[in-house]
Amino acid sequence: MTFLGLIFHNVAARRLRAVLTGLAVAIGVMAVVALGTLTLSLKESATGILKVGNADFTVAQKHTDSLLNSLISTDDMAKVGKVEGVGRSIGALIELDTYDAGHPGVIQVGLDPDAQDPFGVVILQGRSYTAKSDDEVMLGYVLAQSIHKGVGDRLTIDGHTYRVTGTYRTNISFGNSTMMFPLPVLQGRYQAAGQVSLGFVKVAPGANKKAVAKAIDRAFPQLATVASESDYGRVDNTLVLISAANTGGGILAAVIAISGVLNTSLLSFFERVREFGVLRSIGWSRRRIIALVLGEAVVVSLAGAFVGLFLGWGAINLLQHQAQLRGVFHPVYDAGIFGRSLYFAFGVAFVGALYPAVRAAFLSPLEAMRRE
Amino acid sequence: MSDLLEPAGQRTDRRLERQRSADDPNAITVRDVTRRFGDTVVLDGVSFDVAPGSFTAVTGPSGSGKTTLLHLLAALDHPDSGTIRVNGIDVVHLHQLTRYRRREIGLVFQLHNLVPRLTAEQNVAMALFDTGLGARQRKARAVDLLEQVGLANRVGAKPPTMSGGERQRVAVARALANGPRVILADEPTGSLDDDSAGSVLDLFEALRADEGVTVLAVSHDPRLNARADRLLRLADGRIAPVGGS
Ligand SMILES: Nc1ncnc2c1ncn2[C@@H]1O[C@H](COP(=O)(O)OP(=O)(O)OP(=O)(O)O)[C@@H](O)[C@H]1O
Ligand SMILES: [Mg+2]
Repeated sequence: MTFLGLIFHNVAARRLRAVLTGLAVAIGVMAVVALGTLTLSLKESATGILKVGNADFTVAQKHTDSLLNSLISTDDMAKVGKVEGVGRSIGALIELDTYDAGHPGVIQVGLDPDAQDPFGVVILQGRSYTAKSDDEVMLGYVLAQSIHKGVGDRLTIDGHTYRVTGTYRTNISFGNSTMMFPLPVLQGRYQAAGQVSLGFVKVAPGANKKAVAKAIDRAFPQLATVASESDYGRVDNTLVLISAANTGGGILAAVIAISGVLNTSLLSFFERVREFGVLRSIGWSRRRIIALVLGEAVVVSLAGAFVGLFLGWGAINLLQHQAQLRGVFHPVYDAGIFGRSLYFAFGVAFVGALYPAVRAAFLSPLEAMRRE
Repeated sequence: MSDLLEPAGQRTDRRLERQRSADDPNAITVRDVTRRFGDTVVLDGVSFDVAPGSFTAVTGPSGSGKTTLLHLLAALDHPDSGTIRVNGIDVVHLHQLTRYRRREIGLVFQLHNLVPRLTAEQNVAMALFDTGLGARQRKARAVDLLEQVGLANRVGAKPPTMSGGERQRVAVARALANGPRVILADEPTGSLDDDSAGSVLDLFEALRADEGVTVLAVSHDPRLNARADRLLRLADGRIAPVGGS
């Protein structure tokens, strides 16, 4: 019998217990996978906005808790456009509204027709709305499919009815789940005349992006430039909250899984005290005893992690079909999540079984064998 | 019997060899050994020698310290004072206890102490880890040993389904696994019927005669004592040859 064979044999001897422990680990891994993927995906969605139209950076109102609440006056945007080194700047108004029960949070973008191209909007069917029309809308193709509307159809949102003039795609995936109006239309509906939510800046050829961003930050104290994910917290703390929730959830999952492993390992330690004593007295080293106890935990933990990966994948699929997340949550599957699950399984097994393993190894063989 | 003691693929252990003194001709040398538990003096200056290749039985009333003595010899316990040498190795001051237990001695317990989940063969093979043998060789040797103790047909049986005699013979096979020069046995026949006891004793006899293995068995089983070369009696913390001065 190989040592590994012995480990499997011992695990199989307490099958039900192994299954329950594995399940605790599986739930932990599921949480890690689901939360991790959700976090990563939401981050990608959120920071995707930074990549709109290949902008070098985004301009937003400082100290808002969410990008969606950012407001910049079109005057300021015009002044930003004149800052030395700015190649082009586009302002867009972004408002969230309910379309129907299945689409409780649709992102509406107000954008001038001539800003569509630099914004990265590519018309797939039909044509753009005209700058002045107040009853025309364009649909991202994913949203169009989801609400079953196409060119020429009418749709009603926020009590207003619009005709669909075209469908489009954008260079960032969640843009395909938005709808787009002429800027003044959206400004009018949301009492935001003369205001946009975000500005997208592309610097002039040869200009230093960082220097330009800094110049804007200095010239407009009420505004903040966001060039990278790490800048994101300056204008939106949602990501910080999501990351914190992810970390917290991960810790919780680890605690649950570790308690499961610890519980099992301790139980089997107490049941097998005598056996450990015998093994020591026939020449087993402490190291081998530790390897046995840890090995048994690792086997159970890894099996649990494997199941947990599938559960996590299932959970992501469920989340994806949650109406609240539709259009915002586009799962980004990351190979790293697989590695992290392995780490999790090993870590949980190690932390959970270390104490029982060390106790088993440092038992006095005589005292151990005296136990019944 | 000849392959019973073939060294199990082990290289000589330098650290253990360094502890071995060449000028001790005895298999076991015990000098002035004292062991107390609290106020109870169980062993009070015990001294005796055991010649290599002999079969010695230690008797004595219950509670006289026979098992205690055996544990000291197996380095499972420490004396309060005195010296113990087994195969020339100073057991009292030894650091390589695991290696000593694995290579120098074979232990047969008062209770058989087998792992109930494992088959006879697997129980024997447990003693063969860390000996340089691969899994297949371990298995082959375990099967071999079980054949030698007359359990060729019980190789795949688990202890709960075996008779007391069978279990005790598995325990003997396990003790022999690493080809030890000294077998320490605690009441190896105490719980066995005549046939089973006879087969275990035959085994000891054969080991002694064919391989020159030293057997020291603690027992108040007259069947065992009758087969021993020498009978020592432990009483009141002292040891003395039976019938001697
Ligand atoms: N760890 C211990 N702590 C306290 N007392 C002990 C311990 N081990 C043994 N003793 C005592 O030492 C004495 C000798 O015990 P031991 O087990 O060596 O006797 P024994 O001769 O083997 O008896 P038996 O024939 O019944 O097996 C007993 O009084 C026992 O209670
Ligand atoms: Mg005893």
